[in-house]
Amino acid sequence: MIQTENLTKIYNKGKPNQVQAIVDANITARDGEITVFTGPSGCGKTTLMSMIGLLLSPTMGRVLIDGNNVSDYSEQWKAVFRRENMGYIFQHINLLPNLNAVDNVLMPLLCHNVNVEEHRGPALELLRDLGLGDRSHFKVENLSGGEQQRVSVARALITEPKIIIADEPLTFVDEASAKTIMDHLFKLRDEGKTVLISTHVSNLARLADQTVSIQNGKIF
Amino acid sequence: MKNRTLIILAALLVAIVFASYALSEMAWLRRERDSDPLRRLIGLPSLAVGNLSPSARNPGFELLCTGLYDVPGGYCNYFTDGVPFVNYRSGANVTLGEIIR
Amino acid sequence: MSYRYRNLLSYALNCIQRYRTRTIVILVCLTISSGLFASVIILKDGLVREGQLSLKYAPDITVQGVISGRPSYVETRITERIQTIWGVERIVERIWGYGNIGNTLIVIIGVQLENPVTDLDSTYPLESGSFLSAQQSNAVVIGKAVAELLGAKVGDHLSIVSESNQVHQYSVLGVFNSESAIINADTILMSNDDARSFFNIPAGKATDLLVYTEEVNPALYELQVNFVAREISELPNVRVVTKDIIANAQETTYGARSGFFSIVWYLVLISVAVVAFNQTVVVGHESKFEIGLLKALGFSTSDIILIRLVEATVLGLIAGSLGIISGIFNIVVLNAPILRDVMLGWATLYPSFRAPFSIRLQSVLLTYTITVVPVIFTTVVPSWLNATVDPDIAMRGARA
Repeated sequence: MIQTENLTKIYNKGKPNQVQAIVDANITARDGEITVFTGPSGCGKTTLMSMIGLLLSPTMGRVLIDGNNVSDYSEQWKAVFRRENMGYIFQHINLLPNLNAVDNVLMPLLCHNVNVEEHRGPALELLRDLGLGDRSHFKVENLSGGEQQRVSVARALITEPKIIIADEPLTFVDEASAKTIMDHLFKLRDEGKTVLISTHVSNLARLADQTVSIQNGKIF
Repeated sequence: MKNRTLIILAALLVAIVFASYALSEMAWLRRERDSDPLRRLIGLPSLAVGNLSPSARNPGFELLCTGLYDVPGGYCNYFTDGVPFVNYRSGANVTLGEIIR
Repeated sequence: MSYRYRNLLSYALNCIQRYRTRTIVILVCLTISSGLFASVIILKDGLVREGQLSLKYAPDITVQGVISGRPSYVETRITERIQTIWGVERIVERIWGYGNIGNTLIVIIGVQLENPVTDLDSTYPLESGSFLSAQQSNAVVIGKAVAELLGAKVGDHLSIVSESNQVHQYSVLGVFNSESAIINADTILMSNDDARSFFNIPAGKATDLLVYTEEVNPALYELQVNFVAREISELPNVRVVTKDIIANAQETTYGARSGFFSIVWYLVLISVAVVAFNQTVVVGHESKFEIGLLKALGFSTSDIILIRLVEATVLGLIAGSLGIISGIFNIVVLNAPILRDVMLGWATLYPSFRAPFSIRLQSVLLTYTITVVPVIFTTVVPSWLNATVDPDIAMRGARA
């Protein structure tokens, strides 16, 4: 279970260009649930997801995961926690362009004490499930936006994380790809994982177990 | 190029370098160990070390070489004009005798 | 090695291949700079070592003549006085000098054949013929370069005109081999008497006197030599040179000459640093994004530093090795053009001989240090700085 207490992020604090991206966010996301964050562009969804995903340090407040105050962890421990427990689907996809699809999927395993080559099979299977079976050895720069997003999904899932954070996962995808991705996320929910999704697509919010609306950095 | 190739390449190149060092060192140790009757007989430094002939000198570099305290027979050959390292006064310098007033 | 470290190593090596342009630029620049450095240091070490080897067999003290403060012949009558100095074992008269055959400088060396310093029956580095003997006069042993210059071989008769315009005839007894060219390529070796006659040096004078001191404990050697040298220097019209002075002069000279080239090397290294830094900046955004991504995926700061360290070390070792190998190639195969003239002196009258070289362990390690350390610095430090920011900020910053 994920809880945030008074989570606040202020960019450029104290400077003339100060921005309050998120203010006093208090949310709870349970295991086996899909929590959707909705709101217009620039409302702070990505900032909130990044703080929960330990990619961004909050200005104030804390993030509790299964009762542990992970915000106070050192950089080293945050990295360990991310690697052991989280899978992230980025808004901007964020694949390495000069690696092929399957190598991008295997990247999170590099910092684990596992034989990466033994996971090549499961990685290819994941890509096949996501409809990329015949493109797995293409360099990502040669894939379409939708295909890249699906590779990004596979990368987030390869370590079988407990927590999946998907920031605008359907931005670049067509309807068919969107359905494939959502099917996977629902499957994860059914497996008892904690799924957080941010989107500005209202249809998706209707499918969530919990919806959190954000406007100008504040939770409604 | 596979990753392993890079490591192998690096290792191979380093091995070549250290093999060269070993061969060079062995050759020098052999030369240093061998008695060399010709060197002992001649008593002069080898060509690489120096050449005392003034005709081997480029006048244009005399000035530059003045500060270099050249090796005996070396290009600048400061030797024949008096090396500052010599701790002993040269014989037959003109010296002051008694002053008779 | 655990799978984790194997994975990180594999990723690091993969980075070297992926950032191809940066890799090639760094490799080329570092290879050139380390090649230049290695060339200079290998040749310098070779010359120093060659000089030390020369000194090993050199007389302990060389006595030269001085008249009016200028070099001259030395009076051989002072031999009796020198012989009485405590610590002197033996004294040898030496007659030698230079001559020109065409544009080629040759060295004519006279050897004391009666009671010589070394046994005349020793093994000398001859390609053909035999060595000098006390029974023969007007006989010479010539160096390889002289033999080639004159087209002479064993049994031939040479006519050489001395500077006093006298014609002297000698029979060629032997020719030295190529392996010993560094000592004798330009040499015509003859007896002291023949050399005296050639240079028209009157009896009672010599070019220099070689003084050999008695064998003593190495700790006392310097004391003994300095004592003898000081005693000799009290004699009129002499100048004294000891081995130490020659050794210091050699070390200083080669240090100074290699210093000239080092200036060039410093300039090259600065340009390498600039290029490498530029490349780091150019790939900087890509690298910054990659580091942010790695951190987001669970790599720690120490993992990232390790990756960059491995990259830099492998690149540095490859470049350093290529540099050293190219330096060796330059000296051994190409015989160090340009560098050789600077290090040996600008005299172009040398006959051909292979420049001496020495590959010392210290030099190898130093070359690797000056190659690996700059790469590590320009690679690891920026990566460490990027790795200490929040991953989200790193990725956003790179995208901006």
